[in-house]
Amino acid sequence: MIKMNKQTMVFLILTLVTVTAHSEDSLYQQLGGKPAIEKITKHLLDRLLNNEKINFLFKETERDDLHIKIVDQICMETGGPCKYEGLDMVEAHSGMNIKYSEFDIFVEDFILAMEDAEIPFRLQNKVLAIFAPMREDVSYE
Amino acid sequence: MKKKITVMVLGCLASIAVSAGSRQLGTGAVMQIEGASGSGIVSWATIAGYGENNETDVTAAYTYLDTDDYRFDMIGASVGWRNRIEVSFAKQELDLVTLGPVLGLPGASLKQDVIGAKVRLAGNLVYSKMPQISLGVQYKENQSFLIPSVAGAKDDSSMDYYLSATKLFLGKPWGFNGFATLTLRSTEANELGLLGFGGDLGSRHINAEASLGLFLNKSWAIGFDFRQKRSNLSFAGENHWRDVFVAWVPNRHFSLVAAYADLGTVATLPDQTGLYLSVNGSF
Ligand code: HEM
Repeated sequence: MIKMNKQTMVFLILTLVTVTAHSEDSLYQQLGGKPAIEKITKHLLDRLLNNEKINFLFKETERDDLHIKIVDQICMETGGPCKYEGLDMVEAHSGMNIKYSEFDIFVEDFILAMEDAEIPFRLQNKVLAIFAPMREDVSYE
Repeated sequence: MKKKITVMVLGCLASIAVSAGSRQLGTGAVMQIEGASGSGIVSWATIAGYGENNETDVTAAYTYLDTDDYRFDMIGASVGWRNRIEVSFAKQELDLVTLGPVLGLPGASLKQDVIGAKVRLAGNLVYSKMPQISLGVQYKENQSFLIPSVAGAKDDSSMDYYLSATKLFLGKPWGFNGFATLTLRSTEANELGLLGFGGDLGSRHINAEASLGLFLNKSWAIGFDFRQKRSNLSFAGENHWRDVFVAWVPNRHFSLVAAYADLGTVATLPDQTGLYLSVNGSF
């Protein structure tokens, strides 16, 4: 049996409690809730619409409409209290023939938008992990 | 010296070139010691450069390793075609700093050329659930076979075959991006082939290689490599190789790797450890 003094015990329990409590915060909360997601989305659309490599794809896009949908989607996917009511990802992007290289450019702008919104690296990666598997729905080989 | 100038010129060219592929930063890995995309001593399943399935990238690298008793360097170039096929060429040289004079051959070195090819069979490093899986070959031709033949090596050229799986884990562990590689290599090489191929103890073996690491932020990664090695020459027993590395990838055109490598006993001289430095340019 490993011997532990009282202080070590208390410390271990406190550590455990903190770790578990922290992991119960949704990614949505860790990001900073709706205001942070609004900020990310604003920067994302600023970047996409000014990015000459891919902005031709957004020629006919209603910015305000897309903004609302993207905010709702990020909010919902990260565990926030929103409901995304737009098209599913295959429908939304079918017919656009988005190439993998264009998907990469989009992801890069998304990362830069999170940086603009001062989202820490480790939270950025958790958000990316949620959206990365959508590549096959959005772009084609 | 000439090599260093070539590399500097390539480096400059690389940093002014406008186009590199569009894959995310770091996903081209770096050129390992035999010219393949990977880390210091391990071949990975990655395809060199940043090209997507409609893009092609060229990568050049220079690597230097000093263990006091030996000085190793490699200059290499590779083409990554459409994130599907990689073709590489590397020239390696091992200066026998200590052994040369002992053998009455001051200034002697062991040299080898490696032509490599790799094909991505399945998966995607970043986006698929499964790892990226690639099959590679390395045709190795020793360019200084006199010493290896005296040491008992059977052949001056041979083929390595390897199957590799590499995965990047977004946000894992602890929100960082972790990466891992496992590679199985079928080889007859003695010390990569610098001491020729096969010997009195045997010839072909299947050896394991592995890398494990972490991106601490967008452009800094740390990790370690392990490479299993087995002995074909009773005269020159081999040890497994290891290194710990730090990589700096400020942009898609340039990367720098510093590592501390432990090569164990190499050609009778024990405790070969030293600093490994590598510069890569992609465009
Ligand atoms: C995982 C990555 C992506 C996510 C999560 C995403 C999300 C969305 C969402 C929620 C919509 C709105 C759908 C609706 O109207 O109901 C949308 C539409 C759109 N997306 Fe994406 N998207 C992704 C990747 C891309 C990429 C790579 C491009 C182009 C390079 C792109 C271009 C567009 C365009 C042009 C529209 C249509 C806007 C319109 O209706 O005019 N998306 N996307």
